[in-house]
Amino acid sequence: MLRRKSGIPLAGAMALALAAAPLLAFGQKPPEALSKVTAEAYPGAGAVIVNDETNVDVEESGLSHVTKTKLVKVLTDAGAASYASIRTDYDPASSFAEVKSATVYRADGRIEHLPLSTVLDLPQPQDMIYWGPRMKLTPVPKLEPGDAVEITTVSKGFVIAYLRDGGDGSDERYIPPMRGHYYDVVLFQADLPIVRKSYTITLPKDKPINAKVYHGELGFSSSFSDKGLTYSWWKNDVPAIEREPRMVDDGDAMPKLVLATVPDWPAKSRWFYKVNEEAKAFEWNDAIKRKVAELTAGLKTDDEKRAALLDWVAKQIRYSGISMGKGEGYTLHPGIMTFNDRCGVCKDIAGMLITMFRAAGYTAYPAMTEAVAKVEEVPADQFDHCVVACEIKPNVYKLYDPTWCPFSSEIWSSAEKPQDYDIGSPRGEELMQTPPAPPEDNFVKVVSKAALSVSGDLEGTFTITGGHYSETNLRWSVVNNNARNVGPMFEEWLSRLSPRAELVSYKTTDAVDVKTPFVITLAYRVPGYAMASSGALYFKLPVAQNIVSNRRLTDFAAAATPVKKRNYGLFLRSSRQFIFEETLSLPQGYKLGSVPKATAKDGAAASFDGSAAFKNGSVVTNEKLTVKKKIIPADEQPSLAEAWEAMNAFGGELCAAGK
Amino acid sequence: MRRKAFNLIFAAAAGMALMAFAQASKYAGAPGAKEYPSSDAVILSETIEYTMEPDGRVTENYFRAEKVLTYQGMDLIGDPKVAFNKENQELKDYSLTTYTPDGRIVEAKANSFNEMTPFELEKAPAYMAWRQMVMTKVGLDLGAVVETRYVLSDKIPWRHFFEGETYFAGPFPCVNRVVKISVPKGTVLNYAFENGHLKPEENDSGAFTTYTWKMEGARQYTLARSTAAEIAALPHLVFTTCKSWKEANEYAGGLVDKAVGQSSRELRKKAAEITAKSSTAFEKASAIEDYVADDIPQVEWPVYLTGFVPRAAAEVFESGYGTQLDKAVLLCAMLREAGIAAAPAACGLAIPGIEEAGDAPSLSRLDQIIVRATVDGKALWLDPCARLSEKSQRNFQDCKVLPLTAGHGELEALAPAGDTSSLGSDLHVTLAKDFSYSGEGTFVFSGNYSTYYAAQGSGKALKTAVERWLASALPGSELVSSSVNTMSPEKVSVKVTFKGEAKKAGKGLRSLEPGLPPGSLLAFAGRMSSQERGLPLLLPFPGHEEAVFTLEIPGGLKPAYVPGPLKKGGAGAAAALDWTGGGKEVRMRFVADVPARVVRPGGYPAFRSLCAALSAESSRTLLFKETD
Repeated sequence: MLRRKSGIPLAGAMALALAAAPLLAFGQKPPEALSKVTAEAYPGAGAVIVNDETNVDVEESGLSHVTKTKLVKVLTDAGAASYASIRTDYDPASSFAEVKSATVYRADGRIEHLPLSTVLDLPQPQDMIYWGPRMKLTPVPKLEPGDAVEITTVSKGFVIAYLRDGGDGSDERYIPPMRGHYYDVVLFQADLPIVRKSYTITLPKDKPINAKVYHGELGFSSSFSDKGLTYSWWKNDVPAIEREPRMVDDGDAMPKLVLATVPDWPAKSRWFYKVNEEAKAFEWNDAIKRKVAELTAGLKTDDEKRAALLDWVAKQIRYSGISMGKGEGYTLHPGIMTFNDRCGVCKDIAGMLITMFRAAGYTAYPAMTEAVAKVEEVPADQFDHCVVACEIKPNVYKLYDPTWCPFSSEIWSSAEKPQDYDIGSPRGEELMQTPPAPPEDNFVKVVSKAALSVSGDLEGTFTITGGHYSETNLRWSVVNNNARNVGPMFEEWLSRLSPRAELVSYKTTDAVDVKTPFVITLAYRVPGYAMASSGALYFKLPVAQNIVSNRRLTDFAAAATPVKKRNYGLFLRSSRQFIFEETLSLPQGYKLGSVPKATAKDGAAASFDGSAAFKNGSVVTNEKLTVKKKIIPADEQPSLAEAWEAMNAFGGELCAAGK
Repeated sequence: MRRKAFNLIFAAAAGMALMAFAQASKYAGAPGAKEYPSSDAVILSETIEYTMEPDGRVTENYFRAEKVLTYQGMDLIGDPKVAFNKENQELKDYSLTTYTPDGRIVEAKANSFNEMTPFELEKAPAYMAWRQMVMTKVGLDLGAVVETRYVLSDKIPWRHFFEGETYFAGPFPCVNRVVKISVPKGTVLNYAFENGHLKPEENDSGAFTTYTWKMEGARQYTLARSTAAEIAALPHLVFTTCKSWKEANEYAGGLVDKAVGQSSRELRKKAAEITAKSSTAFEKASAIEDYVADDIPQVEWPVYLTGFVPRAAAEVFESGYGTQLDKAVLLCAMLREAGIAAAPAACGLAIPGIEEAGDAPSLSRLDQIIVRATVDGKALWLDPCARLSEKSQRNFQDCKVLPLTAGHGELEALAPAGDTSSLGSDLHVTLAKDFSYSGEGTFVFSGNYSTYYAAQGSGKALKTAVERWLASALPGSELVSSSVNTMSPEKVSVKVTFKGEAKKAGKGLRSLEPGLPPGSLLAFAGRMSSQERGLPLLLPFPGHEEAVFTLEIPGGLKPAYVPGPLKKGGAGAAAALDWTGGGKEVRMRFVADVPARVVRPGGYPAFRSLCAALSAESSRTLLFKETD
């Protein structure tokens, strides 16, 4: 009995080991292209994509069969480390994926076919959106520099799709939500150098396609056969992308192919409208109706009522996505569901607001938008965000974004100006764009009142206010912060003045009340701020130390240092204007000897000017930095760097005062 | 009949509704934002019950009721994750119930519970049995109370020891927390309550002995500016069924010995390739460590969760990734292939007030795995996840280590990096009338300050290190040359020459800003911007520091500002910064003593004030102007 017990697992283990061992292939040759990929030919690269090939077959229904082959040669140990396993993502609700083959080409010519039994099918790691996506994880045996790995996957369906009934086991569930249509967006560059990348699509003969190439050129060919029309695009010898701080999205930087069978944006718009109406996404119940009545009670104008509803939805519907199963993806969760769950992703939060708008008697539709990149004119799905369009007059819309406007006096965030969108309406809408936000809208104003003592101690207050998106950022710094971290955060702001800065007290207006302008008041002191010597004081202008410089408000700073050349544009959170005003009292009888002199700058992307003067016993300072655009072309970066540098230089100089 | 059925359903629904309101009212009097104005949520009640069966299987029964106080609180508590091993454990009976302030009861449906692969393991097929269940709370609102329940039970006996750590304080206040541990009668449960004085009630009932710890009114702590080591200063319970460190060593050491011994031809070949250009044992050890640290990605999953079961060295090498323990096993195997004796060790901090290795010999408290290599007859401590230049023995200060090789069965204190730890710099600068300057000087680092592992190895490494030192001691200066006086793990002494130009500081003014010596324990750090702390501040080590800066001033220039003397103490550290002279020479002398590495919350404001004063511009800046 004992022998039997111990024998079975051993046999099992051996069988498993054999099954999991790579099969050596004899008589087969490695791809020729591998020999040209060497560490010398690609200095600094850890690995090189030797071939990246995608073949798509589209059926009449729009169902696509995609075969992808990727061959990567590793050139360093670090490059090898990043290919210890290969991950292929899919969403089982709407797509099917399979690893067809995985092969290792050893530097010495050996070829190992990896057993597919080792490929794992696992739930993906998820954060904030919990829709049950899965991944195929292919373990790769130890690669050494000079080795290569090739993986071929086949898939069908969509990663995110509207779900139809698929209980019969057919391919019906994989047919895209916009039945009969297909789209794709393909980037022809990566973080690794590429020897060759190609994309081939075959469509039924009667299915025309819109296609366009952006940011470079691609090779192209087309052919036809009984099967259909075949189009191919390719690009050879593509260098690895060199990333730059705050650069635009990859889709706005890399060579890109956009294609779609949808004829135009109005068709897409009508489909989006219809699919959500059919799903009854915006029906309301008594509880919603009561809540709408409660929130709008006593409000006079439509704008006030809609703003009140937006405010409630934006605050109360937490961003956390759970799947509703059928319909997840392009249909919005029914308002009744979201009202109960009090959570969802952007589309569900938008759906809640549309529901409430409709319950209040307004005409509202969902709109698709893309928050971090341009939407090209080819009507392919290029969207990552969902918002609300309220038709306030026939053919006149007002946009609302409850996801981006919690604790905000804006109804449409200035961080989304400019931004492309398409409204899902019954008549069908063209692709539209929101206008850029004037920087003056997004002002941050710091008013400083302070006094220096003879010994150089500084005491004062900063009063900080903002407009539009900047005000929202200030509110978020409080309301999206842990309650016990608010004080320490202001202490951190003040540490820009000096490590010795002490927060004496702080107060803010109610960050949640978006009807009242938000004001932060910081009272502080800094022992020994000024250098005091023999009746003289040397000090930097406190307000010019820019205590509100942080990664959210001055996100541009990371990209505002002088560079020889910038290849890609900057994508900032928003345009901005910083207005600093200060009255700094000097000790009795002190006069100002010298003050910093600002170097005024005014360029295409930014401007700066400032002044400091002695008036009535005080140093009166005014500064203004304007970042004029949210999206700054690469060739305009120097003007941003110059303005930022001029501002810092102004703040870095010492004033001298004495009797 | 149909009518009767309808009535029954109606009655049931009415009953449920009544029950719902009855339930909702059970939290009506619960404390909230008024009682906890600085909290985002309050835990009203938390009960964790562990029951160990005679065959070793463990069941955890979890319950928590928490009240949302702010919008931030909704996000902070909204989506907790529960880790479990799907092969060995079953997560069941989970539920989320929200009691809203307006009296509704919202039960989470199946779509609120989503299983996922932990981010830490997404590229680690060998650890794919581990999952996390995300529990998404629904119906949240300000003032809502959410009840979370689950049962996590072992399907099979799979633990060698039943052990773990449970924190009794954290980012939210807790009104009432209970931890119960039941073990079969006769099973020894060793426990230690760290950073607190909570004693358990002990009860024998039937076949089990139950230990119960209860804490009421646990305060909240701000964790944002604290390191993991500092967070260990929170009150927490450590427990284990392991009887002694000797037993822990026999178990884990046996597993590790076996794993290290499982080498392979490929591993051997790689070790030979890596060390081919190395001529000394130290160079070989360093080259192998660089490879394991950089090119074998770390799976950041707690080692104690894996039961200290390492994978074989050959398997770790072949797969190309590993936990800290896996990487330590591989590092040892490669070192041994290169002829260097090596063994892994588990280590954990043991500082009074941070965490003490008390009576509970739980492997869970040894959260770092390092490797002891013997090079030229001396111990060289290596971190398998960081190069020597980034982490060396000085980073394992105050650690107790348990050798993970069988037969070395006790917890040992790691020897300090040197007898004394001191830091010194002496720079002499000559200023020219055009405000350019040239200078020379020395930097001396000894004991724990020693920068040996960062500076040794190549001219490039030394240059990079010296440039960093200069940037701290005299910002803006440019290195001209450097030469080594002493270069050993215990002491590094380097002579430097440098040049620069006094910075324009305003109209007719130039400035020089000599700083604290490089690596000073008293340099003001970003996380010291807070004026108060609830947790201790942990410094890298205690030490003594001295710096001298002498400046010769040419005719035609005169100092416009020379900082005044600064002397502060009584804050767990003492320092003096003196400026003397004037006219043709100015001299700065800095002396500091930091006798202990733990700065208690009570002493923190004074310590912060000391560091801030030493780092302030007005304490460091020399101003010059041309004479009239």
